[in-house]
Amino acid sequence: MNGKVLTAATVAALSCLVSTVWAERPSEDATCEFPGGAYYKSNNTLYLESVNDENARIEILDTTKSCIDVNSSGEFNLVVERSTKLATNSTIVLPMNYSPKSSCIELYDPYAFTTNDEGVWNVFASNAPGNGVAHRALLMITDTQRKECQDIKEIEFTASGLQLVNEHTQAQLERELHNPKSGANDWALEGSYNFIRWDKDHADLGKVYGYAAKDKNKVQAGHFTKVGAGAYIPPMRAYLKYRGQTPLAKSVESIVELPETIDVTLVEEDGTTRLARWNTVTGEMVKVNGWYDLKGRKLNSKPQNKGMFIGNTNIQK
Amino acid sequence: MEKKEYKAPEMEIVDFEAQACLLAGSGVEQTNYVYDDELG
Repeated sequence: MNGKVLTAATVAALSCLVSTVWAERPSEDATCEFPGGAYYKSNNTLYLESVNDENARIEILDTTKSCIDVNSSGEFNLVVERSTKLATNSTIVLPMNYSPKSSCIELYDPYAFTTNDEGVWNVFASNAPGNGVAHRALLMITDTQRKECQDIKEIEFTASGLQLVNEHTQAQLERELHNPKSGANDWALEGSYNFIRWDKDHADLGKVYGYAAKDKNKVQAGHFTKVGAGAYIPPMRAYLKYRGQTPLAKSVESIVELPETIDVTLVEEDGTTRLARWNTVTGEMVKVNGWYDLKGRKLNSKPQNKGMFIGNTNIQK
Repeated sequence: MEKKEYKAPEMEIVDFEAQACLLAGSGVEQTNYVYDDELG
């Protein structure tokens, strides 16, 4: 029996070791290393780790920045290593300007969060065609309908303009979302360069929402969900937080009075929109309606130009 | 005397919240559920 236990332990340890060895990294020593990543001059690539580790964090000091700036002379390749494969919906925040190399990924920039006539909360996010800006948290939509997009753990970007990441950076990562109805910034999309866990006594618990990375009970990977005790987020991702400055503030201690459903409207470059509703209690996502233009007029069919729409739990092109 | 080997019953880790919901007389679907794992 002891032998079996030892064998199981060895297998587990080896699996752990294997999973932490990133296949894409060159075999030679890194040109420079820092907390949360490393840069290799040989392939002009910066590797950043967005992994499940309580101590995970990104720190980029002047020495790191100058090492990469000198060796890359402008653009460089960026690989963000995640320990869990990308679901249909996820988030990202990076300390540099970046552009996805794969057509599997599209970036959306949230800009408003308000209620409709029925009182349903709705996040509006516009297509950021191919570009992410340093320290700006974005939604990342992956076309998991395509086979080649279903197992992405190492996300590749072209990047430039690396910024410092230190103890003062966190304050720059909060994206306030304006509510045109209340005139206040009721919600914020908060990025983080540190690992965060919401334990049961965490002050923000009950006010935080995010995209699930894994299938768990009723919640499927990619669903927009209310965060419960024990949930966590690795570095370089973002979550939605209620700021409590409107009439909702009186009820922040009660989870049930915060919205259980939040719509996410994705606005394409040509003005067409897609709307899906995530039930943050059950994790269920349902297609609420079809295609709309910017003025809210319903279109008879899917627009002919390139775009996507959200079906029941899937994104389809 | 021949030694008899006894196999312990296999145990399964179950979700406490889900069990609590069922014990409370409601289906899991009807119980408020919040996600407690990795955010993407």
